[in-house]
Amino acid sequence: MKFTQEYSDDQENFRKQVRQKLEQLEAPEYKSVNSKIEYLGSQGWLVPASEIQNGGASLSEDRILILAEELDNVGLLQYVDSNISKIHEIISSDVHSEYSDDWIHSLAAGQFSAWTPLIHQNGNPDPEEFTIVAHEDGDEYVLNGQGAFAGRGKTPGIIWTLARINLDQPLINNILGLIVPGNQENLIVENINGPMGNIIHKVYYKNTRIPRSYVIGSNGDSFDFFQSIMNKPTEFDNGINNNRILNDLIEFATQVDSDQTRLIDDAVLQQSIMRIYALNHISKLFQSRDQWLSSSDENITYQRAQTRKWQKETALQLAKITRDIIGVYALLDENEPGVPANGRFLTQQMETILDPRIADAMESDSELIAREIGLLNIND
Amino acid sequence: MDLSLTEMQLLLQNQAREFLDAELPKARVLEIDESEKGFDPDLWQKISELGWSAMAIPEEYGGSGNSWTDLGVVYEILGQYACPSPHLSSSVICSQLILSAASEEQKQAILPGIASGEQIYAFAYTEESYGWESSNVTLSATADGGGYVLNGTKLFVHDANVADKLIVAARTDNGIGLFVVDANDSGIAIRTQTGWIGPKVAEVKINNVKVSSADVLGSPGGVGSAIERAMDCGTAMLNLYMAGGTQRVYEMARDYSQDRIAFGVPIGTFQRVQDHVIDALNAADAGKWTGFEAVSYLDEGIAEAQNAISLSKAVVSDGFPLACDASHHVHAGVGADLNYGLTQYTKRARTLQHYLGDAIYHRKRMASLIIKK
Repeated sequence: MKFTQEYSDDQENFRKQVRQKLEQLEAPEYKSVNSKIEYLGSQGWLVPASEIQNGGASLSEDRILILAEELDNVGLLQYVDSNISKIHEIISSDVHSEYSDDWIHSLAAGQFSAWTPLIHQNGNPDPEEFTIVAHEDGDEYVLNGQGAFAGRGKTPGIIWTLARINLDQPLINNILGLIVPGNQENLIVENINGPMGNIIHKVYYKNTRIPRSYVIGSNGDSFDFFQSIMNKPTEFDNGINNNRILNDLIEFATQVDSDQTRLIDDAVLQQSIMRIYALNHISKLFQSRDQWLSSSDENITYQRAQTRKWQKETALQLAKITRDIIGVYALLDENEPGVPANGRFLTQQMETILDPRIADAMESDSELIAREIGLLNIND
Repeated sequence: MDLSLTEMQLLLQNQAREFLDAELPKARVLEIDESEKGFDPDLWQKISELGWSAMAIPEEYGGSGNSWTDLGVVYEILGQYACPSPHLSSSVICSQLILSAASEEQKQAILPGIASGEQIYAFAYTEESYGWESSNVTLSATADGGGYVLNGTKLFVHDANVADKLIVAARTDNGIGLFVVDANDSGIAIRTQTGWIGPKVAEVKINNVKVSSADVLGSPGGVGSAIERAMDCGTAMLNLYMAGGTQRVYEMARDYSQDRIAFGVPIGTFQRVQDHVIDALNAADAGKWTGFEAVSYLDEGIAEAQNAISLSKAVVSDGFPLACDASHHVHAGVGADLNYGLTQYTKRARTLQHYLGDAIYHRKRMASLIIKK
């Protein structure tokens, strides 16, 4: 067994290049979130595995891991939206539209947002959640109904839509998946206000016409396809490790005194910090294990869901311990004088509610684990 | 990064499983636990014949010089079977104390006996305060001619009741020293402490026991790093023993929840039951991977080993009892039946969480190592 990660000269050089590029983001023109995302897009880093001609960076798995570590170290990994890479990949391989090329490049450049259905992703589909209906009409499908979606921004670039077909048939084999352009006619968007902008949206379809060529998956297995894509790890999953914010927390506790004692030396707070340090370390170990399992002949079953669940629980614990240690200052943004760590603590607090990688229901991960260890049958 | 076991380690793993399957059914664990000494000489002899008592000792002293990962593989399986034996005390902690602190002559004299399993050593360290920091060692060693005279009481000493020799940590004018004494010395009274504790621990009363200079390991005041090294190696092995135990209580909870029918369905289909089983699984995997990471760092001899060992001990000290609690929730009444086998693990979890430092101690140590950096 060898747990230490060793990097070649080539990999270290790549890390150096990434760091140099990321330093440019300290310039004032990159203060806004959108400008940061577009900069990452300009480097091909929003879809790093994708080919350069598709707006990606053609990076190998090892280089993506280095990129993820560096993005996390400067607190930028949060801006990489996993929906973008998932929908980018689907359009690149499955959708044949005259606009495909534009969509692919707009997504990769960070100019387009990608929204996905906000529905229970595991087990059988829940009829209550399928409130959009599709009727066939020549070479088109006509959509009616409304659904909830998750994704960044107020204006959708692409909406991955799941709709019911053949209403008189069982739901399980009658779900249609479609790529719906956000600028399609007869489509109304209602953004739900959240503490960090609009992440949740309602979309109303009123006789919205979508060409048949925008169908993804095939009629009937579209829900399976959706599940497989949403549960598939993205390029950056292995980079989610809270390193930056944990280091910020330790630095804060080392530098700030209370009653002439450094916070890190307070017995209770020290225990809390080391507890979260251990949880985060295990999170990284599980990521490494999953990577090793998937690259070796070993079976990977419940492990990815376990890692996701652990990551989410760790992020929530980290948010709680941060509030315990930093107090109300953890809730100030970067514009407030005296805010610690340039407001990064607030970002982490918000992420625990809003980032789908953290805020997604942990019960779906538990359900997947239960299934894989034999507590549930496939039909339960 | 390569997390696979070598062919030799896979062989060791299989050998351990096959041996313990044959020699240590759960009823036998209960019998040994309930016996006066909590020790089975036949089992110990067979363990020694397999060469496990020699694994942490270099070849020049009668050992086989295996890596810590090799021995860790065996320890994980020993934990899965809740195997009672003085291996950790004698073949790991005491052998490492001797390797780090003793003279060449002492090593040649003592280690072959430990490697063969013929001699059992126990480390008498903790006292009334039950702390693992050196400041808790107060038993006195007074200079007397060329040797020392020991006086005081040790408590919670693992395997003292079956040991041939004790290595006693005692305070001299120059600091802590390590003294080898005969467990059968007339000045030594060993009493097994009562309660729900497993493996068994003992009170060791030492009254005017004379130790010749030939039985002093290293120089009093200069053995701190030897003690730290021995405790690190012992903790690394204990972590994997506890991780193995955690794995087994998870498996018991999983299997029971698949078989037990309530309201016409297996109870594993209930979400609340699933949560308990998954808590146990998470604790088992966290223990396993932090445990193996720590032993691999020990093998590599890198500075991160100490932090990794403490992190893992903090994880298993919390995780093993938590997994037992979860498994008891799943099993309900049947889990409390001694013959069922779960309680043997629960008893170990609640005892071993303290041994060689509890989670609080090790998180404190982690902080000192991390912040120092």
